[in-house]
Amino acid sequence: MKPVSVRTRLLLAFWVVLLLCVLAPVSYFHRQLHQVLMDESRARIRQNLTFVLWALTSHEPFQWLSDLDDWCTQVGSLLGIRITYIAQGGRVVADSDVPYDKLGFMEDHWNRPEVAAARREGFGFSVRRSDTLRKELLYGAMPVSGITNLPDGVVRIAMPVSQIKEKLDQQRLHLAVILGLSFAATGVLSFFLSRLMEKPLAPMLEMVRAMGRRERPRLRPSGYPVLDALGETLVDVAQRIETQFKSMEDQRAQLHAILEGMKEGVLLLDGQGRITAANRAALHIQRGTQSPLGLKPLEVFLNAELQKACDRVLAGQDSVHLEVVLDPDRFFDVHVVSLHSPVVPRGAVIVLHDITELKRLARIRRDFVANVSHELRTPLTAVKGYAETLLESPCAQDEEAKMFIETIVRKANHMSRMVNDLLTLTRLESQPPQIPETAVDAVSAIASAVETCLPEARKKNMEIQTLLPDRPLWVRAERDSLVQVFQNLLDNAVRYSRPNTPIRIRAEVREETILFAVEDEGPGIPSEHQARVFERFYRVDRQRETSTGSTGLGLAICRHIVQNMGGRIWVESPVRGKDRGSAFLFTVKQAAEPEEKKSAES
Amino acid sequence: MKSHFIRQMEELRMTVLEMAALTEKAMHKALQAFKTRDEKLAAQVIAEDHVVNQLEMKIDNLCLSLLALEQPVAKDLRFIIGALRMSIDLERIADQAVNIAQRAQFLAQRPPLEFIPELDALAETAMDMLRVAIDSFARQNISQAYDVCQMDDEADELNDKVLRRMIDLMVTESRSIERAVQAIIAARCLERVADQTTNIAESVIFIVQGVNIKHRCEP
Repeated sequence: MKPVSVRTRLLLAFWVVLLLCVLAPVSYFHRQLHQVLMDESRARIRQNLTFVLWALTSHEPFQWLSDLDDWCTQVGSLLGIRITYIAQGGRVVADSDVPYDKLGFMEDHWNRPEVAAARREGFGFSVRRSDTLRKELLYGAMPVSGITNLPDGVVRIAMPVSQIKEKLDQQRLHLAVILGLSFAATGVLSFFLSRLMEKPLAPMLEMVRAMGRRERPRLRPSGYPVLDALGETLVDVAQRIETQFKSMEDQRAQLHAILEGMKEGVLLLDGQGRITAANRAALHIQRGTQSPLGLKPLEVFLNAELQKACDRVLAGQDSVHLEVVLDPDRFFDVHVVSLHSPVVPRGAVIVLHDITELKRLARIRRDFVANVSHELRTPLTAVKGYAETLLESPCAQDEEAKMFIETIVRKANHMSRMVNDLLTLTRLESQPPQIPETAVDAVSAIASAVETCLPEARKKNMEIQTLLPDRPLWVRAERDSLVQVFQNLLDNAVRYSRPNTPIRIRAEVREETILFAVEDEGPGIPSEHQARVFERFYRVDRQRETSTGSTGLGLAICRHIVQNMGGRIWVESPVRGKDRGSAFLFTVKQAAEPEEKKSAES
Repeated sequence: MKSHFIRQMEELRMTVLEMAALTEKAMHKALQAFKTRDEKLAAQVIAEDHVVNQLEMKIDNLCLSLLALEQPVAKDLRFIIGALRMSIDLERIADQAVNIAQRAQFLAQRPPLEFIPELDALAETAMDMLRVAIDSFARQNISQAYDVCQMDDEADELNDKVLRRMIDLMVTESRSIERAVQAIIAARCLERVADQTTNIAESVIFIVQGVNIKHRCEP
């Protein structure tokens, strides 16, 4: 709908007011006046009629009907009225305004409204326009009967409506003219008024337009305090918006610079999974050189796993972390994070971190350690072998020489253990984590580990208590690895605890996993070290580095084995419910009892 | 709201791309296994082949239901036909990858053969062709597709060279005949991969331009 202009609204308002103010009272008074006039006319005509009737009855009998007509003409001209005598049946017998010889041509008057009313009620009255005289007339009629020589019938008189009535009617015309003139005048008035109102708004409009074009708004005083205040507020708001806009643009530029400067590829996905933004690094990672905007990750990177991760996040998952290989042989650490804020519809952010170099370095380190360990093994075997031979030979007769040789053997053994541990660790690291399918009885694994550690424990007079159920605990593991985990943990417990204290092994069956714990009553591990004890060669107490004879790799090996089996290992110190000691806990996935065992039992 | 048809077409496109990505990966791994004599990797390629086969069946079903229920026309129709052809080619390439992986497994158990630069170049060419062909489909890029067609001759030539070199080797040293034959089969597989990759490029051209350039390799 087209908006109505101020001018038109103003004009319409004026007109409505004008109509209400003029027409309502005028029509009211007009009606009142008309009523009074009519009442008065009615009374006058009745008086006249009564007089005519009296004159008619008191007149000597008319010889001829033409005498009646003459009489009517005389009386009519004296009174200034028209008198008509209508005989029963409607024939006009006499009429003051019509010559006697023409009466025969007059039409039937019996059903004229005033005549009909007179016959019914004794007096009839009406206001009509006479066709004969072409003006408004008042008509009054009364029935007559019993006059000598005259037929019964109705006498009717007609007189013009008073002058006032005519004036009144004229006034309607004047009123219309006046109304028309006032309408025209208000039209002009409203035009100027609207101009007057719009004029101060024009500079404000110009100012707001300038604001829209992001120019500096200039406020010109309009002379109206309200409008000036509005203008000032507008300028203030505009400046604040401008400031915010600037800071947003700055932030945007900063963010853009950060994103572009990043080494990681960053891509933004919309709710449909299409790329809406990508930084420069992402453009280098993608295949080809075309813009990836509007495409899906699968089309850009041709990697099904990445696409599936994005789909999962778009379907509602909070974040997915995965490692993908994009061509050719480049490894990426990928984070896909869901994006949902009230402003932005659901989407996702992909961050691609190139870890090819990291992987390469890790492999070089692993290879290096493996190679060095391997290279050390051969000379070590020779050292050990010769030292042991020397120990048996006569050279060892000398106490001092024997002590030296024994030290060589002990240290060579220690070194060989370390080399073996290093090799184990490298092997574990290079293996991809894969949860074994084989079911192993943890109870028997613990038993064999305890058996190995028992001699050392006895030396320190320590008791190894196994608080386990007397049924097999089936876990998904490789037997040798599991035994090694228990053995390493027991070794540590024996090594670091005080003599004469017990070591406990507990097991707790959970929903899908079994939790094992190896607890001792030693000095415990301070909390700041707890997170790091699983690192290789990390020691809590630097002083005791050499005295304990450990390789410093046991816990690192444990962690790798447990993680490769899909479990978790951690330390609690002091032991729950006690003030000292440490507990090493780890979880392993439960396994179903193997079929052959079941059948063997049955 | 997208119509059912558009969504299904999108799914078809994504499935073909997924299949292409997996096939490329399988091929890459197979060649890696061949080069580094990695039996485990070769076994992995053989074990993962069924995923590609399943995707081929999924594409078959999708195309069939789209053709039967939607009566597509013009480019949509070409896309469906093209996708159908591509899925067949991709599945065969994945089979070739399995074949190469099997050769790799066999050769890994034998003493290494002397380095064959032509075989290496052939592998690289085939891999490049496959990569470019898949890219051309992903981005609907015609010029890349034509590039693939041009590269096919190179692959054929390299295959011949490998064959000649292996024959020479077999003539001079009878002990390596078994291994040389395996290498020839691998080269043959790669040559087939190059051919099928050319078919994929032709399908892409068919989809985008609506012209069939089979056996001509020019517009």
